[in-house]
Amino acid sequence: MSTIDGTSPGEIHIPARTGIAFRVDAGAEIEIVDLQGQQPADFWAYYENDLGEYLSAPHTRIANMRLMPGVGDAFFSNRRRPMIRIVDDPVPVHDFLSAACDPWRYEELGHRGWHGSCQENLELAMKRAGYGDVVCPQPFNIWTNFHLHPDGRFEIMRPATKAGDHIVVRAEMPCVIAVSACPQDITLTAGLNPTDLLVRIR
Amino acid sequence: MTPRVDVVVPGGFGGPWDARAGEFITVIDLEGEQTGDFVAFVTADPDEWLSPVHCREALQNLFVHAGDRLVSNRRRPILEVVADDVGVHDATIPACDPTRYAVEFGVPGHRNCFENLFNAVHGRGVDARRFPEPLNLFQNTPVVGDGRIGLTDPVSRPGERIVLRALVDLFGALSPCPQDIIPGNGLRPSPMRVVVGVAAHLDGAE
Repeated sequence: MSTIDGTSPGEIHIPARTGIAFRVDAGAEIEIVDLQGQQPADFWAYYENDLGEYLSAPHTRIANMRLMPGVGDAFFSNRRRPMIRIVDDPVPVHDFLSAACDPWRYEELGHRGWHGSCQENLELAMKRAGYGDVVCPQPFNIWTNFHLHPDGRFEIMRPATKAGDHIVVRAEMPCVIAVSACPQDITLTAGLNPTDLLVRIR
Repeated sequence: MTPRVDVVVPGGFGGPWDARAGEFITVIDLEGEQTGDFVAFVTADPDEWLSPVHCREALQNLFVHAGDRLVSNRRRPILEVVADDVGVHDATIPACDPTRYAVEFGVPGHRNCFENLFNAVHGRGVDARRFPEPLNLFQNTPVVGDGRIGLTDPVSRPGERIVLRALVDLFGALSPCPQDIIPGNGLRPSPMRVVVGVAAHLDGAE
């Protein structure tokens, strides 16, 4: 069973290096599965009735007074409303400080020519799902492992996930969700081997 | 040499500034313990702005230090930190906004950094929905362990300053934060001075 509108329970398979966007009702649970391990999932959420309201990292940090929400904590919108809550998180090693990878990131890393990126995946997925042009806010970088040192430095490490690891979040309002299977293959972000993700909605 | 821009922005209010490539932007905390929310846009294309989130990744650091080159949302260096008396700034939390005061503190209509910053650059092609998160100069949000962050008063003393150099033509705004309900400005919003010119104002006063 497959759906891309999320109005009924279903599964969405996200091929490596691509993204998907779908809508969910308030109360829906969204499970993301790392099928092969060491694969980050960039995650965005927008309020369905106003795409100008979206999951915002700075507003979430000050609402929780933490750098990274934990199980039971909410992610807040730029209007300071709870949008998404973490329900189950067996591998709680994520990044919530960094931008989505984008064409300029790959240029900076020395790549020449086109390279897929999470920002482009978001933009294409939102267009395909009928939502047009959207802002690309800082995502919740699920399983991205940028280890933060006590002096404020951080360093890029491989994700801690193994094949089949998952996270479950719940929508606190009707949302449009976008997920990108990060195509980063130059740094250790995706273990040098971008792979597929699975999304289950219930 | 006389600076091209030299303004005092009252505490709790906002003011615009602009800088040509190569000019120095000095922000001075005149009375101490004052946070200044700071945004910068590229004059040639206001969709490109100073981006704390991209700075963190470029600098591989949560904080900003003297010598750092600060990048835009296109990952291009647009400002350089030339000198810094204080060394404590925040790049993780948002500007205070109408919702913050109305909903979380029960004070509708309170002055706020978002409106101060937005109004200061009004008419220059900046979209409210895409408004960048600020670099909060002198704001003191220490990471207190286990990922928790604190919110406390700045350590800046009267006359202390940060000096930035514009690497491209920029315009922007500064908002000496009006927060007077919880710590952040010593519970007393106070004025800041912005000086822009070809010479760095390293002594903070003439």
